[in-house]
Amino acid sequence: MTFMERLQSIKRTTIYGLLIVVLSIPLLFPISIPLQVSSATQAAYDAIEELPPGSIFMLSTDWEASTEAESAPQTEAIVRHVFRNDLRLVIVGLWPQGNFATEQIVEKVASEMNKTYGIDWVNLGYKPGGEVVLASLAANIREVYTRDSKGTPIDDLEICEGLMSAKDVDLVCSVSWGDPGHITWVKMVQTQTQVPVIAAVTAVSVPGCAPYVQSGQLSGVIGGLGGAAEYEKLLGYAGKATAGMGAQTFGHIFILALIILGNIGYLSTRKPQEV
Amino acid sequence: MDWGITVAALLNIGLWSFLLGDNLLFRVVQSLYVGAAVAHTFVLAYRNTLIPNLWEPLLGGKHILIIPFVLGLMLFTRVSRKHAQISKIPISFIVAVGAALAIRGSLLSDLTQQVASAMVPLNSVNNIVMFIGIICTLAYFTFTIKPTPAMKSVSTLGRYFMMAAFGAAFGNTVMARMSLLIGRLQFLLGDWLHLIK
Repeated sequence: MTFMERLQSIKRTTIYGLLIVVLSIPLLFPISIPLQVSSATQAAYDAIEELPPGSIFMLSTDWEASTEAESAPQTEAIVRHVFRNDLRLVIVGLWPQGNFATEQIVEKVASEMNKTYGIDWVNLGYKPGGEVVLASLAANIREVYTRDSKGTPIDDLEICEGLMSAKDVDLVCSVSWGDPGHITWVKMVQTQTQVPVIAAVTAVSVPGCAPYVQSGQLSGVIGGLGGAAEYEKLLGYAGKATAGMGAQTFGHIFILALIILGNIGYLSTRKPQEV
Repeated sequence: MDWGITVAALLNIGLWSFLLGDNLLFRVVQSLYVGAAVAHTFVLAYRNTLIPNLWEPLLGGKHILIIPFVLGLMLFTRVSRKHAQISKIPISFIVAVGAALAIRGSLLSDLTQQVASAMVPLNSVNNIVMFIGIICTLAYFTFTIKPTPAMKSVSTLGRYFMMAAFGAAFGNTVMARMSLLIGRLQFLLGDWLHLIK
């Protein structure tokens, strides 16, 4: 087998091994990557920035453990912004694992920023049902959520005063990995109540968000790890997302190199009749 | 040493062993994950929904909730071949409500608002490209008109627009998968081995 033929049949395990090495180097020896904030991330940031202190910000935790690498840094950045601007953070969830993980992130950030549970933030917990839950929530939150995730009656929580339906919410953010998620929020809440919705989605979902951003149904989008890094830049701190951008750049260069090498091998070994 | 992190790291490596081929360790870790995820979901659904939204109001005198309670119980008849037919009643109910809600939401958000937002003034390059893209892509899916050479050219252009969109989607998919691997490496090298400063 010639070298050019070998380029087309690199073993899968070799590619995995090389990819792990390529991604590990910039993590172990960090490099600074210049970041350009996209208009969609800037719009999401501005939507939160424009809210006056005391506004109700609803964070929907619509993700699972498998997208933790993207969704957790997005969540942390958003929560830091919400607490910095003294907004009231109300957490709900259409997926079980994301809600649990979000509570841990918020507990950490809240203790750093001296925010109190029940006054500055609350977790109303995970509810199964997707569209049905959001349709009910748009009409009457207290019918869906009678207690928070710790079992405290919602009426006993100071933060929930005046929170009767989705119309009382000033901004919704769905940290989402699929369906039910950000599109469900657009369909069942934004369209029905006109409450603005922003989304923090995995990179896979970014192209699907474009029509909703263009139509104004989504007020902003934080896309993948890159979006989270952009948001960290806007907030002026470097978290896990920023730390991962060097590795992501190296990984993309590696994939591009593989595609180019594979094509060089293919073109140079192509038989004359195939031309 | 944090034993929780060590266990998570070993389970992570166990799942990665699939890269070398299907093996017993991978299947054990996979089953563990599925079992833990199902148990977690069940506990949350029981504690956050069944108790506060069904059981407590029922005991408080909201007797109308007996109907969804009985419908829910009827779903369990699926475990018996003899009585499985009964479970079709609550499933029909769920499908009907779900479809009604989905149609209501989709008509407004995915049809009306999307069509309205596509009607843009042709005063910028972005808007012109979007207009051409919409027309050509719709032409590609127009099967009821006999294709003329002009129509074929338009639909071919529509196919190129779609291929560009698929390329963008695939690029984002690669980026997302890379991010997931980076997250795991940050966990293994940083949280577990403390090699990342």
